[in-house]
Amino acid sequence: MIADETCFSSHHARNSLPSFECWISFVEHAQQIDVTRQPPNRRWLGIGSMLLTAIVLLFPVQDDGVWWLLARGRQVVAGSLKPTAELLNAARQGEPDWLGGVLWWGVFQCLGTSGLMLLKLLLGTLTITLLLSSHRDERQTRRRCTVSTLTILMLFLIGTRDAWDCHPSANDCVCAAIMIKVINSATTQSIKRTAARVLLVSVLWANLGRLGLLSCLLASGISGHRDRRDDVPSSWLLIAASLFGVCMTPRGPMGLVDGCRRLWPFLFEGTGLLRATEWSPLWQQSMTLPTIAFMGLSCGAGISGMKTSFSARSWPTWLLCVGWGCSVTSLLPVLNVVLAAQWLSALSSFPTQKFDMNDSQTRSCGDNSDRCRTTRFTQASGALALTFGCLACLSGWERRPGWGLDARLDLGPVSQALSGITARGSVWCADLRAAGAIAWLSPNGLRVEDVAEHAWLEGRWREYAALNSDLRRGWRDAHRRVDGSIGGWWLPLTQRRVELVVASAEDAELIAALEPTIWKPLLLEGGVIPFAKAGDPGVTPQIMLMLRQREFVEQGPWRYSVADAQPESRVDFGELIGLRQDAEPTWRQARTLRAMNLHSAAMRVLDAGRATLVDRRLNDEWALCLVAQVHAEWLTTHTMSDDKRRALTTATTMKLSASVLEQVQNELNRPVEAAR
Amino acid sequence: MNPQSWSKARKPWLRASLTGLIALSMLGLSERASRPSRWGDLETHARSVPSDEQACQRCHQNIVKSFAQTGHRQTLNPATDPVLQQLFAGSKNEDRVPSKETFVVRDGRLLARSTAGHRELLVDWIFGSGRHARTPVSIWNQANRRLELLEHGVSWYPSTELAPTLGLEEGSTSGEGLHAMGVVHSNTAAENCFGCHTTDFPTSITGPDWKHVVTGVRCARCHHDTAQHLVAAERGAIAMERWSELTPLESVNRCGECHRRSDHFPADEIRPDNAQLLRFASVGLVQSRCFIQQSAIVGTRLDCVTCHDPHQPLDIDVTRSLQACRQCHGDTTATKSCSQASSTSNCLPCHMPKTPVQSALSFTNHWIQRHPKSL
Repeated sequence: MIADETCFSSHHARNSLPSFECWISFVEHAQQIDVTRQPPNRRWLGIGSMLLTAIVLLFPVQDDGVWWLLARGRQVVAGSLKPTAELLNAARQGEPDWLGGVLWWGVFQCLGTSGLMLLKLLLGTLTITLLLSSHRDERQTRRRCTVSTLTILMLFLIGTRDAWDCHPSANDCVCAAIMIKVINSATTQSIKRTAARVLLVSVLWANLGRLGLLSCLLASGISGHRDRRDDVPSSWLLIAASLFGVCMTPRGPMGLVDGCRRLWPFLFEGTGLLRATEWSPLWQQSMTLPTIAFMGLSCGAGISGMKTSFSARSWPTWLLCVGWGCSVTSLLPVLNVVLAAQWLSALSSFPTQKFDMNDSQTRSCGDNSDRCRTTRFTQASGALALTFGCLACLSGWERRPGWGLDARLDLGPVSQALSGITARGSVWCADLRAAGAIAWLSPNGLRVEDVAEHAWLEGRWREYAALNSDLRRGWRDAHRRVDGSIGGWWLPLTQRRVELVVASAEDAELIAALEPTIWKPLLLEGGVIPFAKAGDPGVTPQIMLMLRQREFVEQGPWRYSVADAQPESRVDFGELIGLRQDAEPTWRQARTLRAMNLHSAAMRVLDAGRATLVDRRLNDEWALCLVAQVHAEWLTTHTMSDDKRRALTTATTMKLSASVLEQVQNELNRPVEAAR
Repeated sequence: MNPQSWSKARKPWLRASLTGLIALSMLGLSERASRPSRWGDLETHARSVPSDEQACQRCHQNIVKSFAQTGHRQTLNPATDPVLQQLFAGSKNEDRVPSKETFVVRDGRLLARSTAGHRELLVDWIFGSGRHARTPVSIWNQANRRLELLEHGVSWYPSTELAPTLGLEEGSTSGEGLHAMGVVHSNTAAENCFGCHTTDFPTSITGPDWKHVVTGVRCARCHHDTAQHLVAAERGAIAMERWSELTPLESVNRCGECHRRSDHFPADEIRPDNAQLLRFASVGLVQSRCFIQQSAIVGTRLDCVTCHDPHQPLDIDVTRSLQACRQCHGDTTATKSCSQASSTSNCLPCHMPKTPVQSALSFTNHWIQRHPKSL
């Protein structure tokens, strides 16, 4: 203890930052510190953490993979070691994270969608607790550290927001936090005991989460522990333990290969194929709160690292985390855990007792006025970030606060539509939401053909992506692709005995491409839209029913009600306090109808929506419907009527996204171009 | 060794630099793996399909020369060709065509006029080699830059000059404006049209890349491993897929990529009385007993190239076809001979009759059987 204080004092006397060795020495004697000297303000930290968790996580579950995860969990409970292989026609092998959905399924069975919400809050809180307990530092001062810690926690929660949404990454985040806790406690444990713990956590992580291989990074990077006896970094033993643990899944050592495909996807596929997938780089994704939070955590951890002299192993870890996060978007949640841990670690290692704002001795600043200003600046920045983050979450900028299951995941309509058919065979699902719906409902024993993630792991990604691309672009017949392979959706779907194609309701491109084909929709509303083959006697009654409904909504006395469209599967907090209703269901409905060439019906939806709601997406959809109607008129009359021209001109003055505005202007210039 | 000396010995800055380098490499690779491709989402390498005959001509000069005369090679032409323009502009469309569409050439451009519309429409492409027909096509971009195509209701035929386009006879084109001039195809159908009438039709989210469209069916369209063959040829090897090594069904299906494969149709549509199948020779052929039972006689083979030499212009001489029949139905073979005609007579009028599909056009029925009308 004396040596520790001497080290810090000497650095202070030299006006330099404490070195890595000081911190090592400090951690080793941490338990001997007199905690009564500067008690941490845990009460405020606890209350703040709870509040932040509620603010950031109290949103309806809306991850597209919810039903897929629950279906996998159900399959495991039914006695399967390879749940995905049994749910998919194309799958030949199992997955390492076979237990990933069991907990979620169990909670859902007991408590329904409220159970999912509770589990989401519970896991978030657990991870925060683990992170805080991993870096408990009795030197933390009251106000500054509380604000800073809360800022880190807020960024962490926002950064991992999507993971808690009933997503497999939630398991990764919790396991990563446990691993960090275990590794950090290595400084006070024997190396053998630590290795045993690392092994145990690695086994747990590999079987529950998708990124178990990251445990090796944590074992090698975070730990500052070394075996002093032979002066050889003991992390090699920890890495070996974690590697061994990762292999202890039903996939065995092949789990390592799966891990590599997830961690370094760009090494396994060529140009262009990862675009617009979860494996694409950060800068190709639209800017969302989680990506902003990741950048905030990266910068914060880096700057704190510079101020507190990150250890020789922490810098590589930080660099890898930032590089990884920028390269592969799907890794962001778990990397946020590591970055938050690093920042907390740096924060706790900073010798702040000299600048305690509550301390009467330092409140007057005295001769430390520069540092005092720095402290105030840090405090103010943290408070500002906290306020901004909370407001961004509560404002419903990206999501509306609420409880339950988002409307797009409501399986009521699709369940009803599929109950009336007798099709057998397999189902081609264009995305995970569609696959989850079919896997969970399993109508008539119909099985999903493939999902993106498993196609990726088993090396079918090119085939899967190509077929989806052909469906979207309307390539029915066989044709040569640029890469030399044979395209066209007709043959692959026939060979797979596909009886249904299922798409998400927002997937306007696919719905529009299927419109002129043999695939006919069995629904006009809902989160997922199933399409069945025309001419199949098993689905003909449902198709006929839809034809009548199409005519009714397009030409009949149909009226759309915004209030009726609000889903019953969730409670909208914004609506409860008197705010405007959610525009999402209205936008989705209009988009689906527009994709089905039911432009008048879509306009009815949008007119009703725009009368009561304010949302730019509604404007965009309205403009796109208008463009479609104007184009149809141009095809019919080879000219544009004055009222349509006025409407298009009005649209150019509205708040539209750039691409929609461009389309409006293109259509506005159409007759001039056509005259040529 | 104390911790400080250990850190110095291992040069932490070096470790951090190396890790930074790794992180940068990851960024670079991930950027490359997800970079939007000029050729669409599914490009693996920069243009692996050689679409020009220059490379083939070095060794296969005669084949390339004769192939240039085939209908396949000439199946798509720009409407700026003066010879083609005169075919349309110089022909009168009398009462045969409901839309009363006429064509004029102005400033080197072929324009279509219709009495139903008030504007002239530029013709961009002429589909078809002219052996059966040539159909004018106009294209434009939708507001979202996706391609849209008008298949004109009037085509040029060798026998009657201008006449209704197959499938767009009276009643098919209705309404006013562009709909009166033909059928408007969506982006989906338009890409399908070009897909078969070109060897390479690169498209991306911003629409077709017209500069790199390779018109007509060329070597690489049917010989899928042309690229590998060219690489091997540079090394002196001649590795190439041989057509004779394909099974008869694989061979027919290769042609069926454009002429339709039987598995492109629902089972209930494949029946002898379905007149739609007349257009699709490869579908009818594989339904024939001659095709299905060919393996019963050793040494015989029946597929498209048995009768049609793909490297030569279509031969109106039926000798080659009759030789194919006599593989099995000759005097010396054990297979049942024809009871209605001698073995030296022409089998085709009865078993593969030419069937008119409209006034200006007829197709040979490739579903080989005893056709009730002809017997």
